[in-house]
Amino acid sequence: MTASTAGISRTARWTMHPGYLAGALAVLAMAISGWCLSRYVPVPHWSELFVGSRTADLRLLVARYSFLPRCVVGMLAGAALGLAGTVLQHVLRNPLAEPTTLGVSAGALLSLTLASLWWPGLLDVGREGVALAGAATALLLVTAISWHRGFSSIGIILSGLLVTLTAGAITSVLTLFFGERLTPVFIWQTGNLYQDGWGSAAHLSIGLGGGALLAALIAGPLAVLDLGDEGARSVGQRPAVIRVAAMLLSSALTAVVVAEVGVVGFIGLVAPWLARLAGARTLRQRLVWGPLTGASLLWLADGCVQWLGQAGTALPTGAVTALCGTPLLIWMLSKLKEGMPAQAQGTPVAPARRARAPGAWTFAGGVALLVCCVVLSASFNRELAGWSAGSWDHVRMLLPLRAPRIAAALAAGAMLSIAGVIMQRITGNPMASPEVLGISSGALLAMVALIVFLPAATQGTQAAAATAGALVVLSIMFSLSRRASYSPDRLILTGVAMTTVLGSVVSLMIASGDPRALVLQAWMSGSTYPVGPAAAVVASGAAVVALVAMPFVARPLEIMSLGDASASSVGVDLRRYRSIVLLLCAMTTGAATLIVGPVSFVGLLGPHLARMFGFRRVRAEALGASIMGALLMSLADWLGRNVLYPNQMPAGLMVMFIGGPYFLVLMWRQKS
Amino acid sequence: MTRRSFLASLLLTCVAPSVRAALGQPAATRIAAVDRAATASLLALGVRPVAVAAPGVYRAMKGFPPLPEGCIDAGYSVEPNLEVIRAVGTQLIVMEATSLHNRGALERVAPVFVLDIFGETGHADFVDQAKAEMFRLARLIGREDAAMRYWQTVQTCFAATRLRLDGYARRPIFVVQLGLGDGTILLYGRNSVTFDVMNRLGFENVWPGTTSAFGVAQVDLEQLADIPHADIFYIDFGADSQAALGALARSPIWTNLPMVRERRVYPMPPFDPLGSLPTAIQFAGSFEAALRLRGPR
Repeated sequence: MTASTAGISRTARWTMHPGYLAGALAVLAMAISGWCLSRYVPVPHWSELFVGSRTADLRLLVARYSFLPRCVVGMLAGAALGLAGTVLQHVLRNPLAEPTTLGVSAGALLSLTLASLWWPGLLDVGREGVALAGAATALLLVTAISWHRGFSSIGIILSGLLVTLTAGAITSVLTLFFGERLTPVFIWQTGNLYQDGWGSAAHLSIGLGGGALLAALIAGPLAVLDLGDEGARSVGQRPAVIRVAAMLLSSALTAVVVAEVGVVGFIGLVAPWLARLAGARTLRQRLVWGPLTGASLLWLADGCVQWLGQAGTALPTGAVTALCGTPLLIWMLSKLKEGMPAQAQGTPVAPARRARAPGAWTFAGGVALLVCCVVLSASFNRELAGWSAGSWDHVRMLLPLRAPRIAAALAAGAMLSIAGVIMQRITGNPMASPEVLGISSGALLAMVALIVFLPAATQGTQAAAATAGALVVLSIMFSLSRRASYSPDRLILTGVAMTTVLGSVVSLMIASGDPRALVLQAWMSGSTYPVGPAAAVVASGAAVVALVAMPFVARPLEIMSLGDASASSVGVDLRRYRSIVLLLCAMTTGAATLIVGPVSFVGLLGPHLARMFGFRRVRAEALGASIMGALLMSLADWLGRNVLYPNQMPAGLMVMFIGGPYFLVLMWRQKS
Repeated sequence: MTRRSFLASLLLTCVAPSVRAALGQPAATRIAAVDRAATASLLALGVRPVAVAAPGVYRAMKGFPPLPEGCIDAGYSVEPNLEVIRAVGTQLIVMEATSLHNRGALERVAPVFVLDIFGETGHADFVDQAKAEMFRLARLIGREDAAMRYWQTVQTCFAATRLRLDGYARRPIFVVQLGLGDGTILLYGRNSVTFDVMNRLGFENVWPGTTSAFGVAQVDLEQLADIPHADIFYIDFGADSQAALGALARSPIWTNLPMVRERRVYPMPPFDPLGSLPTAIQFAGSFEAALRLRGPR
């Protein structure tokens, strides 16, 4: 095996058989399961579990048709996810790839949500079929888009991310508006392993059996990928075909699991790692021990959930694994050492249309457009009598309601774009942005913790918490990005993982019936609705501060993006600037998250559009990006207020509706 | 809402009418409702709200009393449209405690009155609580007579229903909402309208465990067997419920529950579990219908 597949520093000094770890986990799981089983059926009566067909003893029935199948389903699902993760991490050459990376779970969840709203009968006939259809659609999209990019791993990851975000946005809107009718979907979404019969176990074992067979068939060609694309071609293999087959396998396995038990986080990520740490070196070893480790891991996790949970209030296992996965993920990140050949250098989705540097006219045009947009947004709206382009007197009357929202949208758009510019510069990654790297999730996670533990916290405390959360995640991401070996796609995957964790926390709250969950959901979708005059003033102030501060850090930022060595050679002490820049980035992200929530493409789109118009230098790019970001957000806010009038759509979701497909089309058009 | 602010608001609303009288201000007549409990309370008081959040949802969830035609739609309850509420000249906005997160935004348009029915950890004496809250609202808007009349109606309804159900066996009853094959079932208990109204009618809503502020608990199917002689009344939402029953019919645990084996599972016409006092009348009707289907034995 070459260095290209190893992501972990090999510190193990003794050689260990990979079976030891899986075995130890399985023994532990078996002990806990046995203890749980004795709650239903005392040990002396265990033989009755399997003999004596007809019985009306409910506890025996529960053990036979609920508990035992649940253990088996846990094992099978864990094995399937472990296999999917092993294969995916191998073909994408990325130890942070997860089965959900391909957008499969998001697609399945969306189709299930749609079905339960408009065709509930379909769910009765076949929930699995509905979920599989959604998963297949998502995979098709991802495949179609990455086809143009020659199935490079960054292409796959990016399109997977975009599909996930877009499908997630649509699901959020539906949840927001039809939340009361979707409780079953939430429970499913969080990965509840409850069983009533052996049906799921049978489906899963068929799926896993097929998957294992296919994996055995393509194990040889898969191993060839270690030679790199050129090397693989030179021995007569076609890397693109191998990748397609492996991705199909991986997502089919994931779709089956998602359809049967819902989204179970982190098993597919962690199991291959553990197997490798435990000593599975070759691909064949990992293909065997990755799934087995996954099986015992999920079995153990589910056993613990059942053991600790009270009857009726049990936590969904999938959400719990996602939560427990966070510390593991951070530990794993610290272990990442050996690099893999960075595949994607340069900007993946930044077409350089204009070489000429933009002049003052371009700025003036941008500002004029922004002013037009603000005027339109304030004066031309749907009202009870229909579309109305009101007189000044009329608009003045409504301005107290509209102005704070418009101001908040402008400020948030500008701030997120500035944060995006800063992050893209310091990480040297054109896809970096507060949302993609999980900075917004960090801010939101801190606020969720605050709401749960200190419900009476003031707005100021909330802002401080949000900034602190953003700063923590930002520091982690930044220190990761400084490692020469830490490739851009790995950074993005880390951010996606953070977002997954946040999502599972919120689903956990929703599933537990916490009334605050709905508020959180509304806020997470990025709404300007609750913004009052005071918050709008604060937001605008923060945006102005960020804009004013930008020229002062522009030069250090330009130098930083050249790398540390060049920076010290021109005599600049980066340490001092670095902390200022990080603080500025955390402040803008925290403030914007506080106002509009964590999800929006603005931080990605703003800088990207600015570069498209030719703004290349940091100062010009930051200014251009903030104009673009503000324009986008205010447009989104206006659309959100009017499209479904009198119902209000959160601006953040509107941005996703615009931004997700925009990026997908961009990627589609651009051939690598 | 903290206890102190609750007491303060209680005190304020007690003196509000006298203040209003002293100032010579007319009671608010243009009132908007931003959730179902608020809408139902206003309709019961004979007030036609000038704007109602999500009237479509109110009708779909069988809100009671029925909404008259032509109420202005103020958008979904999650974010009621401030411009609409202002445009119809709203003088007062009524909400239930579950909508509290919107209070700040709505107060920029008109004063907000908060009904506490499902607030904090809920109220086991649903009927008394909803009645007290309705009277509090009635005093503020000068409709005490209507409140008094409505309370008479509620009492008459309870008395008449009790009389009609006199000969019916008093077996314990589970009121449930069927889920979709996740192995759990939504059970109505303490804090919900079902618990209190059934008690008043002399029937036992038996779920012994804890319930949420809305009076529901998610329980495993097998837990229903803890009280084997209880009947199951499921809320009949038409196609959704048929789909759920279809899924349950394949579950070995559901089919072996004593009440399922003995075919003691009955549909119950839907009622709005998130309504206010009028829901008590609506539920009493639903309950009587289900009980008649079960028969007196």
